[in-house]
Amino acid sequence: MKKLFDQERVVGAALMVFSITALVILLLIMLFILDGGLPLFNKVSVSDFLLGDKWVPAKGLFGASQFIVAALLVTFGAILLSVPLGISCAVFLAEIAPGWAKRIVRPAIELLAGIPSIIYGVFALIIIVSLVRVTFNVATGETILAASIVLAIMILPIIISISQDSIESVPRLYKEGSYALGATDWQTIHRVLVPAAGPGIVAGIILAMGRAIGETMAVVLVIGNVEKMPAGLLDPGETLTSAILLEMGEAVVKSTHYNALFCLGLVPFILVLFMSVLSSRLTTKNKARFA
Amino acid sequence: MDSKNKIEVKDLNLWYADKQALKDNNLHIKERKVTALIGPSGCGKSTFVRCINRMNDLIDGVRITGSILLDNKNIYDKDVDVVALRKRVGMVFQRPNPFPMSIFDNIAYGPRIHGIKDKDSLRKIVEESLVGAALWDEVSDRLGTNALDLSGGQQQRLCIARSLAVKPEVILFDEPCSALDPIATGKIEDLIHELRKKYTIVIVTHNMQQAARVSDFTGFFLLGKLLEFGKTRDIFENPKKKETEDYITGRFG
Repeated sequence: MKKLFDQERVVGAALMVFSITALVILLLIMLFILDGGLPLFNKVSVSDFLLGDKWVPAKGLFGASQFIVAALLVTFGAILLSVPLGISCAVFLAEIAPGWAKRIVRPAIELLAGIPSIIYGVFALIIIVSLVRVTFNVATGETILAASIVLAIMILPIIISISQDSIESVPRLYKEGSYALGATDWQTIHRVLVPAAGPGIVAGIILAMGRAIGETMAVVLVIGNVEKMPAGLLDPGETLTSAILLEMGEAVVKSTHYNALFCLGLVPFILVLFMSVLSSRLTTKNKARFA
Repeated sequence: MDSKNKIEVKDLNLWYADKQALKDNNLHIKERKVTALIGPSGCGKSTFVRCINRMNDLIDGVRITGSILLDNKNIYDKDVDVVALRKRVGMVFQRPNPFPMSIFDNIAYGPRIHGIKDKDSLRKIVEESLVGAALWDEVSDRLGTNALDLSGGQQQRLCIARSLAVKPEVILFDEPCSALDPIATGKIEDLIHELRKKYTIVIVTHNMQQAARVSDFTGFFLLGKLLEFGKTRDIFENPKKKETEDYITGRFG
C-alpha cells in the first residue's frame, strides 16, 4: 500500500532542495554581477578596462590595471611572507611539537582565523604601518607592503591548518619506511613527509590566495588608496575591492561608473572561482593517492 | 659447524605504557640464516622484531629493559647511534610502502640520505639492489615511473631492493607477504632463499607453511613470551611444548 507521506522521500527531497539552494544562490550572484558589470563594455572596451591605467569616472575613463596590479602584488606579497612561516609551523605542529604544545598552539591559530578583518585592519593601521614607515624610512607607512603583512597574518591560519592536516594524513608507513633506512627526523620530514603532503599544501596555499585577493576591510585601512600604478611594494596603492568599497556609495545606480565597479568585482570573483576549483581538484587527487 | 650468533637477545621486556607486551625473552639469531618467528596475532612477534632496529623508539610510552647484542654490542646502550643501527639492520614491512616517487628515487633514497651524491654510483647501487631483489628485469626500462604504479608484489620487492641499497647486514621482514597473492608470495620466498646467502634474516609470519619453507630456525611466541625455539625441522616435526604443537597443527591460533 502506498502511504500519502513517505517519510524517507520527503526528507530526501527536502535535503536536496536545501542543497540546491546554495548552488542557485551562487548562480544568482554570478548573474547579478554580470548583469551589473557587462553594460560597461558597451562604452569601454575590455582591453581598455583591463590594460588602461587611468581611472577618472567623471571623464569616462575606466582603466583598472593599477587596481589589478595592486591586488596581485598584495596577494603575492602576503603568500611570500606566510608560506614559509605557515609550512614551518605546520611541520612543527605535525611532527615535532609535544602534545601539550599542540593543544595550546592549534586552538590559538584557529582563534586567529576567527578575528574580524576590521580588527586586523585597525591593528595594522597602528602597528604595521608605523613599523613599515620607520623601518624603510618612507614618507607614509600606508603601502602595499603593509597590506601584504596584515594579509599574511590573516591567511596564516588557513595555510597552517591545511598543511598540518595534509602532513598528518601522510600514511605512517612512509614515515617508518624512511626511518627504517636510517633517515633522521629532518631527512624524513623534508624528503618524504612534506613532498608526500605537497598537493594538499598547495591546495591550502591556493585557498589562502583566494582569501587574500578578496579581503577588503583590513587592506583598505592600510594601503593608502592612491589610484596610481604602484611602482613597488613600498608604494601606496588601491586594490580592486578597496576601489569598490570606496566608490560604490557615490556611484549613481546603473551609471557607467556603477557598471565599472561591478566589473572590478568580477575580476577577483573569477580568479577566486578558478582557484577554488583548482584547490578542490588537488585535494581530491591527494585523497585518491593515499586510498 | 654452527655459524656464529649475529644477534643475542637477553632478558628482553617491553611495556606499552602499563601493558607488558614482551616478557623475559632470550634468543640467539645465527648469522646468514633465516630465523622465523611464528605465533597467533597479538603474541608480540612483530613488537619483538621491531626492537631489533629500535623501531619501537618511535612510539610514545614504550619502555624496554634487557639487551640486544648485535655483534656483541648492545644496541640499547646510550652511545649507540640509531641512524647507524638502522643502516645495518634493514626492515621490510607488512604492507608494501614505496615512497610516492619514482622507482629510481625510491632505491636511491637510502644511499642519498647517507651522503652519496655521485650519479654513477647511485645508478650502480640502484641496479645492484634491483637485481638483488629480482626486480631488475621487470623495471629496468622504466626506472622513472612512479613506484606506486607497480603491482603489490613488485612494490614489496622494490621495498626489499630499497633496504638492500643501504647495504645492511640484517634484514627484518615483518609479515612481508600478508598483503600479497600466492604467486607474489612465492617470489618473495624464493628471494629470501637467495638473500640468506649474504644477509642474516629474521621473518615474522603468521603463515606456518611459509616459516617451514623459508627458515632454518623457528621461534614460537605466545602472549609476549618466546615459548619454544629451535631448528625449524625440530619445531615442526617434534615440538617439545604442547602449546607449540597445538598451534602448528592448527588446533588454535
